Amino acid sequence: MTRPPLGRGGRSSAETRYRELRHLAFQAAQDDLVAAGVNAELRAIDATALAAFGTWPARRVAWPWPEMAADWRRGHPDRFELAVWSGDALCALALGRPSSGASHMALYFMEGSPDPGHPLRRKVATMVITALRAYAIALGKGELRLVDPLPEVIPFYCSPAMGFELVRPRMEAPYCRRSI
Amino acid sequence: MPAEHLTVKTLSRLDARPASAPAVKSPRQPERAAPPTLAEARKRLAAARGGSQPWLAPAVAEAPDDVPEVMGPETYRKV
Repeated sequence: MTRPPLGRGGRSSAETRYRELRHLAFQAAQDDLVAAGVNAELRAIDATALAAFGTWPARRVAWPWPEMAADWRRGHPDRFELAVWSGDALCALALGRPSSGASHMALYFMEGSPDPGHPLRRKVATMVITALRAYAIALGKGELRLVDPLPEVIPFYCSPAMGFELVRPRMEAPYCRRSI
Repeated sequence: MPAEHLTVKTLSRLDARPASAPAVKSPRQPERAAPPTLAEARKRLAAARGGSQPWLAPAVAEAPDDVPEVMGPETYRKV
């Protein structure tokens, strides 16, 4: 079924609707994580998350999350925007967005807390991909994509446990893909 | 080759050129479809879960110790 495009003034209502959809999807994903024995909370990137991010020690990448979150909020009401918490510890931040059609949901940025003692250490990818998948399902997308992965993480994502395969399109960044 | 000065001959040649094409307007970004309703999303999530069965296997996949918990390019580029 083809949906009508967003009309005039649809931007704020789209923002509200997608916020509700993210909340719904994250709640479903979180329920399953808790059922699997993981104490994780999946939330939006809000002021609390950005304040906690400001306390992260030396990081592997220098991404400016406050600026990134603001940029993506302006341009993408349907964005995937996630802060992973465990108790009071911010364990990861992630940003992505869906394709315009029914094709896919793409993850563009994910960063786990550099604190080696954070409660979800080594589980961050599973948390983020579980949330990404739930949001993709809610929007009716057919596959997940992890865009421009670092070379050293590719073997893990393409392992049987994670189930992705690497795609190297000409003239575009490589990505890992997996069907929903 | 010496530079060609504008003469009556060259001006008439210029006049004979086809009119420049009108400025091409950049195509509009395809309009995104309206988001699904919450009821539709709930239905899809319920169908994907297969009733009460959780998505996740009981064991949560853990990354090896040497795999950085980072995904994306080295530097941030504005989207």
